[in-house]
Amino acid sequence: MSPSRDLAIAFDKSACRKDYEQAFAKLLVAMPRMPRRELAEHFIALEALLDDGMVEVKTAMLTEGLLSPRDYQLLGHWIYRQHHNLMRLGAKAVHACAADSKVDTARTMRLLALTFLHVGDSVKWELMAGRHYPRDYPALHGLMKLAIAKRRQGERGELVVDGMRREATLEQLYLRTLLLDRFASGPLTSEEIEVLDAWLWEWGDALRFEARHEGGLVMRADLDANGGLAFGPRNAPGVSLYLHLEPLEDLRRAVINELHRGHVVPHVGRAASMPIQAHVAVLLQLRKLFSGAGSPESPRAPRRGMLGDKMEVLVGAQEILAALGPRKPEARRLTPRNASATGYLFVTSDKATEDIAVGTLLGLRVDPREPPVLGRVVRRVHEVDDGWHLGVEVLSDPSVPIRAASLESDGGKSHDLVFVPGSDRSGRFDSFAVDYGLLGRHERYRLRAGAAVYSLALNRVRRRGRDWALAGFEILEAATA
Amino acid sequence: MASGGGRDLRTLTAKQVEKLLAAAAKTRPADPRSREAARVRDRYIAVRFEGIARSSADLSDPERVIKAARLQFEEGHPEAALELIELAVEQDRSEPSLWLAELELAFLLRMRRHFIETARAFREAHPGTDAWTEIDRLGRALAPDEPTFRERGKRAHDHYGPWPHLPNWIGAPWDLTSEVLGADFHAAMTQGAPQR
Repeated sequence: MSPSRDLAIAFDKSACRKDYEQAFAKLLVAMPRMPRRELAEHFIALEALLDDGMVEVKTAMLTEGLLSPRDYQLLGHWIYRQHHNLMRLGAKAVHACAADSKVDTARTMRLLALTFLHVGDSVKWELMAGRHYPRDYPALHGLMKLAIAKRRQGERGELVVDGMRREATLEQLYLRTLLLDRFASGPLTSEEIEVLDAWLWEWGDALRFEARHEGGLVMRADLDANGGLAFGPRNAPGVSLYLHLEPLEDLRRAVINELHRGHVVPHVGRAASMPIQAHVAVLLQLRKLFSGAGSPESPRAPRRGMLGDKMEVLVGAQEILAALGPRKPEARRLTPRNASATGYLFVTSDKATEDIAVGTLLGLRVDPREPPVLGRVVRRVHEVDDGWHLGVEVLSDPSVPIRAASLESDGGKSHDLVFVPGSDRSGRFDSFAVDYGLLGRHERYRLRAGAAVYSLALNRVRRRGRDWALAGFEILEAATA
Repeated sequence: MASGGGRDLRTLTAKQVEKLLAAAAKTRPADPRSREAARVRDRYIAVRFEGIARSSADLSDPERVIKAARLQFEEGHPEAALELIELAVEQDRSEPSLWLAELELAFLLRMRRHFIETARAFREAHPGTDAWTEIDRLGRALAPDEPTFRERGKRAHDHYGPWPHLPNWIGAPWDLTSEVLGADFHAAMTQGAPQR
């Protein structure tokens, strides 16, 4: 019954996956009758087996082009399910062992550490597979309460993660999960969350909580609540744990300093081979988090529910440009669930969003008679029993319509793109939605507008997305046409 | 002790020696580790400052860097503005205009610690600089208790009103031609468009 380390462990093969599933199922069935000490041993062996078998598969999944889309989806979902199942089994085993005096506390805490590890991994892999199981925050907080009750939350132990030996405390593993959870709701891609996770492992010493808020910018976990990290001190009665954000911001800056020196952090492991774009994206997201954006004090546009009217959604610059011309292209229609001055939330099916990712440029026809409003996907996540949630940030002022424009370069080549006027009449906040390729050229362009031909140069990026950027520009000169 | 080019190093000024060493460093073949570091740094610069710089080579024009940093600052991205200048300073510590722009940005952002540290580092890199009087004046306004900014005989605050005059090291334009052109362009591009 015990899972053998001789099992062929490479989970890209379906036979190996089946072997593992059988080993898991046997342990699950035998668990109620099994002596607790034995249960702990079997769980630890099963966990090691899962980690061994996943190392290469996970790397392959995060390397573009190695797997077919079907294999990618299948394996992503399988990995997510295994982490989730093992985490649930682990939680039961921890409570069973904690209640049995024959199992020493150190062994129970080891089970607890491994369980936290897999809660975190299942959160991470939601980005690949979508969220298919509701998050069980009370169970997660319950495990932390157990560690605190045993006074073991700060105890350091060794773990093997993705084939690498790591040391971590229980509070570090708990906070890792809660921080990953904060980002698993959509703003990061699977590559980016891998980078974030690698940094969280590096920053273990700063992942410590305090039982009281004694000033400073903090996030807190309310141990009696059904929720993840929240900002600021708790105003209601109850037990909370506080995480200081200033030391984490210092560590984020240290990563930037290393990049200035030409070093990626960490220099080994899966994250080290991720593109620099992923590192920069995480740095920017963390900057927001560590400066308190999203806290109750930070301003948030008021939400308003929608009546469920479908909205035309144009995907990518080409569709948007076509919609700005005389021939109106066929556009998909999505239903916004809520809206604010800054964005929309759409809830939709798999099929309608399969080519939409975080960073995709969208045109939203808020009023069917008017040009579309420009938007950028900032969140894409699958929610249990609800479908795909697409969060869209509005990029253009709906009161000043976007329009098609054609820039002519010195060589006479013309580039069709979207002009995005700012709301300010000075023109300081005007932009063009351009292809990345255009940004690297540092060329001068000509554009006829009204009675003049303007010469301009793109000189800054205001927003960026997948293969496009909203570029600011300066007018170099104007001549009568 | 003759240097390459047949010159006696003892007759050269410190600045000339520094230039010779920099030129020698450029011709020396880089070891693979530093080549990789340069590649990562270049890539980081290209991604972080897309549309502004494609690599560290694009940071070698101080005027361009300062202008780009000012634009970032004006658009509400102070962190990016400062970082861009810092990268350029790291690359060429001998260019005073970059340091001064960094100091002015730190002053405008009321970054007391950053201003003090940058001022000290600048004085070390450029001893006897003419700009110190101005730095000292800004320093006294931002950090009146800081001993770094205590030129003998000077008062703690040598201006009237809450804010000292700014030296404009970030090159904010006095000439409004480009602003006027920008407004004309905006009007021409939005002309005839239905205002909702």
